Amino acid sequence: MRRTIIPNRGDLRRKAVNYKTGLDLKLDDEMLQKMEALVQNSSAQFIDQTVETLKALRETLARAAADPATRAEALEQIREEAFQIKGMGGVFGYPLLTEFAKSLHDFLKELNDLDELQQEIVSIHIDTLYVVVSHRIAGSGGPLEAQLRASLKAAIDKAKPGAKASAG
Amino acid sequence: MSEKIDFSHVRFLVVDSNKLMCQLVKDILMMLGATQVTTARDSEKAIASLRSGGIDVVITEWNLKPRTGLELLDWLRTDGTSPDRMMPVIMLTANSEVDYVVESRDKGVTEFLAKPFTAEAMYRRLVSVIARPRDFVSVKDYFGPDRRRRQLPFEGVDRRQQKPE
Repeated sequence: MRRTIIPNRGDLRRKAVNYKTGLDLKLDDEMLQKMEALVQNSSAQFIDQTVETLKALRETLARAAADPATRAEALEQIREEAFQIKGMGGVFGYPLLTEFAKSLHDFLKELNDLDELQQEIVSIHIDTLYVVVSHRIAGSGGPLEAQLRASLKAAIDKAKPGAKASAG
Repeated sequence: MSEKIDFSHVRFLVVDSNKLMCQLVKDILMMLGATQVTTARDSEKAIASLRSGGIDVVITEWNLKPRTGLELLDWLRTDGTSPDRMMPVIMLTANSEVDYVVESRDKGVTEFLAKPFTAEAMYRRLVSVIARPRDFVSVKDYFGPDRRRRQLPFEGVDRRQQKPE
């Protein structure tokens, strides 16, 4: 099949680009600061929402532990919320939330069920995310962050298959 | 005199299942001067909005239901009922891994912006799709923006043609 080039109509450019009104194509510092402030204004709302989400996920996980019939639904819900937190954490100044939520989402990506061991790993992630939001840990490179990262990794390693047997 | 961009007459559709994210993107657009921003929390509402007309730019998350953002993009680019196959689409998604970027490009996305994002990065994507629009390419397996770099004439001395000193 032939390669056809279709010239852009340019109507959107004509509608928006001019030499008189609007913003420079490269934003100035003042506008950038305003936009940053706008995002930060929603940060508290994000934190409140995430606290509630994590509480709900704890309940979901507890239900899944008690009733295996709810596991598939629980898995779907936790995966979805991990995805949301992964995308939003860094936007609102909480890169560690993005990092830990990504770890959780990656862990759940290929799963079809949540066995006991997997529930434990999910639970560790939820608890770690909760520590970050409840203490409003906004950095990512300090000693506290490194400690949290190490604790999460150690807990996951401990919960991995075979770890308990070898420890015992 | 330098070029400016005025968003006040550009009509945006923001599609994201997350209410807070939808609102944040809308707030950013309004701060930039946009006055017409529609939001949709799922892909069917997005398609209904697109079908009813009056949208110039789509900003969508990949992770949508019932159709994904990628399927929404594919519908816009290939479906016979698409309101505008050349409409700019910015994929704003937490599916940030390289495979997702490649797949989006293969389906004809105009720009890809990974979450978490900064407002400045979003502005740069908006400038790109509106002020620097690309031509489109239609081949057997692809309909979307032309990915080739523009060949601009160079008026300086071609140093590759000069003998070394």
